[in-house]
Amino acid sequence: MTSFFRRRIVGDYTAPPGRKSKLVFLLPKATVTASTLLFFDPDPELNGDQLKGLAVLSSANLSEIIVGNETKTLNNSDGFTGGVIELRTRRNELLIELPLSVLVPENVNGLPQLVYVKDLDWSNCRVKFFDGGTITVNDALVFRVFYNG
Amino acid sequence: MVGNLITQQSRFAVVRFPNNGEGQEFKFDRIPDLDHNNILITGIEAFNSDQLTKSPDGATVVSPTGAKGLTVTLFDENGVSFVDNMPVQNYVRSANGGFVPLIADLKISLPLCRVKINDNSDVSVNETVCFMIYFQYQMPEQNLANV
Repeated sequence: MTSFFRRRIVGDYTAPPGRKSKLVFLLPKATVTASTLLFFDPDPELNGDQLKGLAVLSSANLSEIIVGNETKTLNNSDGFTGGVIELRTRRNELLIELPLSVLVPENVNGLPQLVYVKDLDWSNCRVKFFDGGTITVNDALVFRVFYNG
Repeated sequence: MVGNLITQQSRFAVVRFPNNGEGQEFKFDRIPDLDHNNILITGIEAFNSDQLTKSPDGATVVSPTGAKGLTVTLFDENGVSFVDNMPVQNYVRSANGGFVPLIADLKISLPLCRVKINDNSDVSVNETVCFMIYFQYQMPEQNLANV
């Protein structure tokens, strides 16, 4: 098991994934459909190898959030089964793809999603949907990101 | 320390069911990114419709009860099975305390891997079962015997 830790195959989930954490948002401009693609705003703090963990917040933990001048609602955990997050490099190469539903802590016994990436460009990262759902223009997709910064 | 998988690279792997006869086996779709010979599989996870309603090609994903009728067999680069008829539901993270099943130091031969329908009661024709293959690139200097 020790070599698994040394080779970064596994990480200690009882420790904080990164030194810092913050929320980032995606705001749909319309009800999501099977072809919806949402890009993250650029964030230099998350580029390179700084990102260490990810979670998607649902209404179980936060019912509403104020973004700018608008109040947005959060979906329950059932609302994320149509979407997938893609993490990509500066050259737009795909590193990681993961269904949003497994990033919702209450769906996975509270365990954080640990990641180890190199050459990440947060502005190339995106959420794409294979299926429409309950996420509307009134909602926000809220991610808690863990990073070293 | 108590560990869970760190995701470095991941790709969807999909198995389609063009028919749903019990006892039939179906192969995985090819994933070009996993064809390289320096890919080490670190973990595998399965999804039913509780986690993902549609597969990347838009097909309906099998239900949780349907997934309980499926087993998966995985083969290494030498054509030897290293997982034999494991229940698909055993690879669903939410059904396993949030842990991703780990696979160590193996190169997978995805074209040989297959899913078998043992119980077709809740598996419909043209449904799919989706997996996530977690992997990392083996560095040239990496000698697995010494780690």
